[in-house]
Amino acid sequence: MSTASLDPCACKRGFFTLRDCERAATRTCDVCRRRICDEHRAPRVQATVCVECSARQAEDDAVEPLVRTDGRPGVGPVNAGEGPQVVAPEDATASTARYRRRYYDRHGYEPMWWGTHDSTWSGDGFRWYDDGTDDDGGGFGDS
Amino acid sequence: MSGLKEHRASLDAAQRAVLDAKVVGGERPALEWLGLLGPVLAHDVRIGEALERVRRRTYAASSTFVGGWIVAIVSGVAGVAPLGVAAGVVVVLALLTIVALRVERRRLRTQDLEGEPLRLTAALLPILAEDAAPGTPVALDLDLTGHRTDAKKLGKSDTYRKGAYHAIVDTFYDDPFLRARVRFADGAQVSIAGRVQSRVSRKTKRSQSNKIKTKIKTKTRTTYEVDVRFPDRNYAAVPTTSGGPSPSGTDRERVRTAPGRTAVRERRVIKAVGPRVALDAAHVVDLVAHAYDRVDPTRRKKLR
Ligand SMILES: [Zn+2]
Ligand SMILES: [Zn+2]
Repeated sequence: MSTASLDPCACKRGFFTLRDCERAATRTCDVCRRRICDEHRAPRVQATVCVECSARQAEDDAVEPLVRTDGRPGVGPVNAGEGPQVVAPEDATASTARYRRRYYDRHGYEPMWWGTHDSTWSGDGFRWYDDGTDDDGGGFGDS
Repeated sequence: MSGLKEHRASLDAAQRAVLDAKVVGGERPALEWLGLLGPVLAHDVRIGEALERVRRRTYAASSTFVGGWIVAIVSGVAGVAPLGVAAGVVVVLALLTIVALRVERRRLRTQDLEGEPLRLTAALLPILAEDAAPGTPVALDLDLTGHRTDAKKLGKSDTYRKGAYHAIVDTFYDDPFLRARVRFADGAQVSIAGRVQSRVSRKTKRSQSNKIKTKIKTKTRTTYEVDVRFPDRNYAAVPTTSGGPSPSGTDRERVRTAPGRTAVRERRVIKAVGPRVALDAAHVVDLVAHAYDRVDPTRRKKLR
């Protein structure tokens, strides 16, 4: 299962939980300067940008007001068109990265963190088991 | 309709089989399901557009039919024979058009899928693909035959009266349209279910002019349910909360711990008036997120 590359992609996989991508990196994101794989490159013609940076930019640029149907902050469904949309399989990774960013920001969801530390996520809330020891670096296959 | 046939021909055998059977079942990786179902959804959208075109043409033909009759009668009374004949021809042509459109409508409606469950599933698949354990399929059962077909009928009420209505008969339907199961990379077993229950009330009353008037009113209740079994080796239930309403207030939640796992069930019900049922994958995302809010990680490991 472990195909750890010497030059692994720095993007995170997952929506409800986050883990390392670990595919071999093929290029460098122009924004965050991290090494990324082909799948985690946002579909842009001009620049090389990772799907996480692209999602952050899209969310920063978004101006539509946030109105939830149940009127409560942080939880509940949002307006129509706010939910995940149907996309082609080849656009799934980038599209889900954008929806993930929006969902975390607007619903206050804190994903479980099962990956290696990454300072580009330091502004986000997430959950992990903190017993004061270092990451033992093991996988799930060993239990 | 033009284009529909060609589009259907562009689909592969598995996709055409879904269009014909209107049910989907099996196990495939999430994005493979999306590759299969995306074009089926696109085809169903085209069928919907074709039905809308037929509806508009039927309206135009009906207007022409009525207009033609009026002109024919007026010209008959006024004794303008050529105009009367022309109007008669228009009436006949309009009638033939209406009949042809009826046939086309029936043909299209037999092909039409219940599109919303398909759209919901297709929107959800990329998210499941992110969290699914590597190489693990999504088990999917999807019913696109419709929320209120004869097969979904549960039964009828006795005739009863209420207010101005002297006879009301309720017909009840139950459509469990979706079941999906997948194992996530963290070992969580996730089950997703969707169901639409309908009550169709046929209400009859006498108007003031003593005419019998019948009205049909449909109420629906859509239930989204998510079950997540979190393995003990990675998660433990958050101690404070157990049962009761989840953060949104309207949802139902149940947390059960057993040796080896914590099972969280989240349920959201959306009630609506009218025959149309709009589904939104965001509800399912919320429910899975709420389930994850009921547990904490119990160890610090890197998940690959
Ligand atoms: Zn980047
Ligand atoms: Zn990657």
